Amino acid sequence: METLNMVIDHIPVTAVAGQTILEAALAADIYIPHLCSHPNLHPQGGCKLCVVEVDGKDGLPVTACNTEARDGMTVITKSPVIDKMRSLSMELMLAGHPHDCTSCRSYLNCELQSLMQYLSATGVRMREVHRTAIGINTKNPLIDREMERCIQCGRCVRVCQDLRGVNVLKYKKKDAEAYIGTEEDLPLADSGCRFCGACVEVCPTGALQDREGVFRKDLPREQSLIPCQAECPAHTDIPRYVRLVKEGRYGEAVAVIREKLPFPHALGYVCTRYCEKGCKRTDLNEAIAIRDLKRFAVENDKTELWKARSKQKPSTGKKVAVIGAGPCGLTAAYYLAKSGHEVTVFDRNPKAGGMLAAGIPAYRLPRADLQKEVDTIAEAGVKIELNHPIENVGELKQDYDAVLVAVGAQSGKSIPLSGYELGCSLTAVELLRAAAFDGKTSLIEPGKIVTVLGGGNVAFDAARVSRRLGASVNVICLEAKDKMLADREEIQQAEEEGIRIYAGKANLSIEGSPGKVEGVKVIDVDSFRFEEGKLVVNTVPGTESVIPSDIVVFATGQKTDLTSEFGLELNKFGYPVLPSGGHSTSLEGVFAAGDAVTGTKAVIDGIVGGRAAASEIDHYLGGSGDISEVLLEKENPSPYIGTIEDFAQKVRSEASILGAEERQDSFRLVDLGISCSQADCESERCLQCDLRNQLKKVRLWNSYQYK
Amino acid sequence: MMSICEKTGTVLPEMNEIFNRADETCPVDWALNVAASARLESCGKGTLCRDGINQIWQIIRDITIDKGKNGDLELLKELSDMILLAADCELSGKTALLIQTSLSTHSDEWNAHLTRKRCSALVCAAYYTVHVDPSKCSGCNQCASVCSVKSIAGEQGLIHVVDNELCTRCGACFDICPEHAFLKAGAMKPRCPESPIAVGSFSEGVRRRRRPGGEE
Ligand code: SF4
Ligand code: SF4
Ligand code: SF4
Ligand code: FES
Repeated sequence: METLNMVIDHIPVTAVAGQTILEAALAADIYIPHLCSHPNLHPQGGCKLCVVEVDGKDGLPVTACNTEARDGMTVITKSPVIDKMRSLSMELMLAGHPHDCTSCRSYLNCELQSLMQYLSATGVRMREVHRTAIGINTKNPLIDREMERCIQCGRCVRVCQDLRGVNVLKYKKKDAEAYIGTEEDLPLADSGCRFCGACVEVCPTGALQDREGVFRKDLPREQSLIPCQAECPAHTDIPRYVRLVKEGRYGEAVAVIREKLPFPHALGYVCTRYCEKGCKRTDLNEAIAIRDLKRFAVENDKTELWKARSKQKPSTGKKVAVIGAGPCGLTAAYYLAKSGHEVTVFDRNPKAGGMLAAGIPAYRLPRADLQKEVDTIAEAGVKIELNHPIENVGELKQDYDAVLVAVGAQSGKSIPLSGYELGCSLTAVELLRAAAFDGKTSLIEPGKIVTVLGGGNVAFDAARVSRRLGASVNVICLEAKDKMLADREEIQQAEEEGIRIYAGKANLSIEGSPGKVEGVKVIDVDSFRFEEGKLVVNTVPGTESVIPSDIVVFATGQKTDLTSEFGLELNKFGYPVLPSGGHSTSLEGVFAAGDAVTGTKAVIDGIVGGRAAASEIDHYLGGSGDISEVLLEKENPSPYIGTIEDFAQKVRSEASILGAEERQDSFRLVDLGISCSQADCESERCLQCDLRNQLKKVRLWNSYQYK
Repeated sequence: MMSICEKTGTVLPEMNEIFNRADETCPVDWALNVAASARLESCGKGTLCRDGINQIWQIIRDITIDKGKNGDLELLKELSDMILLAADCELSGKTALLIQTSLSTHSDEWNAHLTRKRCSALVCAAYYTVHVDPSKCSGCNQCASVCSVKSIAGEQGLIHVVDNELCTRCGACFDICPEHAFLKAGAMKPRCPESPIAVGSFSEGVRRRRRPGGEE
């Protein structure tokens, strides 16, 4: 790198060949005001705030942002002419700019405002400019354009044209009035905008803003800008792997996912999709089908290249026991084994996987695929002891340096309902476990009528499993149909399978005689709410009816089944007390995580709990606690996204679903996933929100040493 | 330094028009047209060109309509000086140079507009009045029918009289009058009847008189 020596305001400065005067000065912590230039963009030289005098040519200012630094150059950044030109330029910009800074969303976060301060300029000497083109194109999804605040620096135009290659924004004229607009003044969505947000990012004023509510405000900015990743409890780098899917690099995509979790395939089937709820594209039309893309990547990964860089630390000689082979326990075991510890997982069930094996039905998650991911964990050196209940953690601890309790929330809750004592009732957890491990339950037989109480995903699992065991099935829930907690597709598919949904009904009693249930008595719900944690239901008098039933299934919540005999101090809800706020329990060396600590949560929450616990335990055992892995070298994604025809209009790809007739009597997989062309299309829909973080932040004058 | 703009000055008049000024052109009005053309032509990328020329245009326009302010000429000079110094293209440079040159070459005329409310070429609408030469008017009444604001009083056979409070200086009457009886007047006003009188009955001809409230 060729270096140049120059003098700026009598300060010797070393610059790099090719740098502009502005770049050289800023790098040397010498401030030169500038507004239209931006570190990621070609200089335009339009605002004239960066004028300086070079080599004693007094009174002949040049723009520092587009004048190259030369060896031996002397630069003066302040002089009467320079000051005059800067002030005048500011005054001109302000003549057409609203005076009400305080009502602007960029207030105190605005480069223009900061420059007004630095140059102590106002627009009062100038004639006020009334602009009429500011009303053009103000209604767009995701981006608010308050063009009365625009000072036409052209950064947005350059970022859209030069950096993104989208070329939507242009300098336009309405009669003699210049403004920033689109071809034919079309709305952004119709003009080819890819909603990358780069224009918002580089705008130095409040003219371009992200729509309120698109990004969370309670997170550091770089995180909030990528909402899917921010919402994912594991913070999987979603835009990165979505882009890799687009490039057909499925093995690489899986490596990215595996940096954060060891169950990519299971999650590809059943993840609760926090990410999609955050997806920025939702406000344009529909969220990216992230879960389907993840599954697609796993199923098309021919290389398994993540294995090459998978971290395995040397043996520490420490022994760890994990109780519970669910997502949390297995995740913790996996990372602990990779951290060099000897890990044994104990589970009372005949199969590993926790709720993935015992709860989620096989038609949603094929067992062979689950087993493959469990095997991968075992290959990392984790010993898994099945059919092995642990009665007392204290005794177990004697043989281990650390123990993790990850027993989940495995016992179903039933709500107090008169007639429960008649028998013929079971919890959804019991039903699902029996169906999963035995292929049947003692109660449900073909021809019986099963009524499931509850409206969440577990209720629908229970209902659809009962259907597959030959029963005729009802679901009763308190919520109105459109407010039910289960996923939309679960409800729809259940109905297609002939399951009757009684929404907006409260259960009054189970009717019948001992050993023989006749039905569930219900009443219509007018409204319900929670007061201090207690459910208060307003019913509609006179609407009582009995829904004929032989068997009643309670899908009304789950809890841990830990008792004091287990040896841990429990709180009043039955969860282990965690005195430190981390994962360590009342017993030295014993940790707890997952549903056993948090109550029923999603699979991904369990995995995240398992990672956190693994890190804490590794630390406890003398390790660094660092379980992070780099399974794929960081690529440098191209900021140049170019154009895609009808980008804004592209609709979400829907997975193909096995027909109701074919699926309702068997445990065959229902969701067949998306095709290769769908994956291609779907990954292309992504707004690549992460690219925005490539854009540099402009430092304001007050942070420079010489100003 | 790279140039951001390749706009040329071909939409603008040539410098020699400033020096070889015909009596019927007003330098202020001429400069207003220069600024107006430049403002239409500007690409919009540079602040001084885009907003500076626009500001020049707004100020000159104000001067031509009696809305000029103290200090306007100094501000115009400062603007054109800076635009010239910073010019990225021929368009803005030439515009600034033309304005600057006009300001110095015709400073008397600029001052007359701003401080004495005079336009010696009788071009700037705020600074002249419209009259009917009583010795020429034939009382044909064509002017009254063409005036969109009904500022001309008179009937067939009467000498017509213009109400300058109403008149918008649109010039339609000048074009239609077959006798070429319409006149513009600056400080010096022709003697005209107060209200329409019979053609031929006003014989005193055009004479100087003080305009009420005027300076001469
Ligand atoms: S919208 Fe923002 S970035 Fe674009 S020209 Fe206006 S002020 Fe500059
Ligand atoms: S493509 Fe990106 S930079 Fe261009 S207008 Fe759309 S959001 Fe802005
Ligand atoms: S558009 Fe892509 S990067 Fe942005 S939130 Fe959605 S999935 Fe994530
Ligand atoms: S920053 Fe150099 S001209 Fe705007």
